[in-house]
Amino acid sequence: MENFRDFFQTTGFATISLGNVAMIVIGITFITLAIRKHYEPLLLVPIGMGIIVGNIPFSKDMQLGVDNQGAILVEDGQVLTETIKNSEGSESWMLNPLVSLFTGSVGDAEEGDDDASAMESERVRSRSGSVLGYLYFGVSHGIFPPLIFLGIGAMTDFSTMLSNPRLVLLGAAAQIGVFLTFLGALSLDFTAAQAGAVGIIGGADGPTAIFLSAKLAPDLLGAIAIAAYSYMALVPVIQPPIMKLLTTQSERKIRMKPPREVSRAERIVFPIAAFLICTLLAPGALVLIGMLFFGNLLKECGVTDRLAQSARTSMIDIVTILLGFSVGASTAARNFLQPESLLIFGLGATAFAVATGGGVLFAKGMNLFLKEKINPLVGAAGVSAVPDSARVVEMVGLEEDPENHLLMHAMAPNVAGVLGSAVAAGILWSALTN
Amino acid sequence: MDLNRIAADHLHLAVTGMTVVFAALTLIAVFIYSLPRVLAVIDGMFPTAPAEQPAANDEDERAAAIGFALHHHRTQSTR
Repeated sequence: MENFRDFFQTTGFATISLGNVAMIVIGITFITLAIRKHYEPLLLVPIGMGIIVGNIPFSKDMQLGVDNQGAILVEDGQVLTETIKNSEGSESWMLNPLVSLFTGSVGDAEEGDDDASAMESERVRSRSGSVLGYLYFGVSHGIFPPLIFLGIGAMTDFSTMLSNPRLVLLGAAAQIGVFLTFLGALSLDFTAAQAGAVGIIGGADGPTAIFLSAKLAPDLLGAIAIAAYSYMALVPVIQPPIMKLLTTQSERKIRMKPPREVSRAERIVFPIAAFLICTLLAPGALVLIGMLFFGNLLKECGVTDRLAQSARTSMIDIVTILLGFSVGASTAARNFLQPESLLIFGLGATAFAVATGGGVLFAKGMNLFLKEKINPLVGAAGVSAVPDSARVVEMVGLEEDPENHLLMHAMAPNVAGVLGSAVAAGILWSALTN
Repeated sequence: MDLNRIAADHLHLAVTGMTVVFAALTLIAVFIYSLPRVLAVIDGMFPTAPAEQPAANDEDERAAAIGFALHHHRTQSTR
């Protein structure tokens, strides 16, 4: 009986908290929304399952959580590892890839490997991390987001943007959501670095939000990632009322000229030139923009079809699964259910609304000077939730005029928004880390 | 919410950030506007050889002629 009682103490039933239960319900809600409402199922199903997995309580002795990324300590000599504070405030050891390269493996060996020439006679003690910890490594070190960008680049057709360059500016206007939310977060007592990470939710780009928060505010990464992806999934709910509020019926009926045909040479030159322009202005965006345009070059050059095909199908799918699941698993109740998370969700919603409004209002402003008017609804696609916000523009446009298809036009500010949010992330990163 | 927490540096960062985003995307827009003209000038300086039209396959031509003759014969005979 005592054995049974001891065993029971190690089970989740004995240690589960109300917070864990609440998070598991949130995970199930995400999965339900994805299956029943088709809200971003490719993201919400992995994240939802990850949330459920991340909220199963376990004994502290068991290395199971995303915090357990393994540790290596070098004694009697040069210390090559760095310490980090985990979510509970206790000290843990962060895996230094350099050390694992020297030692060759990560295990529980008390003695150093005789063959590791670099370590020579130093004693090396190592502790293996958890599987979730290793998966989360790609999130916490900003590896997955650029890989997602590579896939996005390989599936993005910039033709509509190339055929109507004035729509590019709408992608810039929508970034007002990022910078106003940055100021809003500062006024709510977030530090400057945290405020930058929260503000980028307004860019409506999940990978960019994860990339920046991994750099600026790793402690808020879970909440920011969940907020960004939740609002991306809720684009069809959040955007239409704002779009309708800021436009008149006659504006929503404006028809735009069909896009011109773009030559192959233009499509090949564009990714290289646009990469140079963006990264020379904001070097912080180098990795994200570089991978985006590298993917696009693979697609457009016509001689690397196999690579482009892999990047836009298998690779992006694998990375999406790993990213979604491990981000979900990082939302253990003790970290996630904090007042800060609630503030982040509130600020995220504001950021999205401001970004949408900024794009629409800027399009209306442009119409004051243009002969060929822009349908201001396409301004809402300046938030870079590709292609959902463009689809929302199409949907709202069709409600007013069933023959007015705006999807192709909306794709231009939509992909420009991806560039704009990556540039904004680069600026915030370089400014707030210095 | 306390607006006094926003320092002048933060305001400068927000304004500068928005300006740089606009500058980057405006430069891209200007580049896109000029790209077809630049490519046309380059094409004029270094004209590319016209791609050779693939010679029509005799088999295809023959099949097309037979198809047309059959069609013509059938439509004539049903009238």
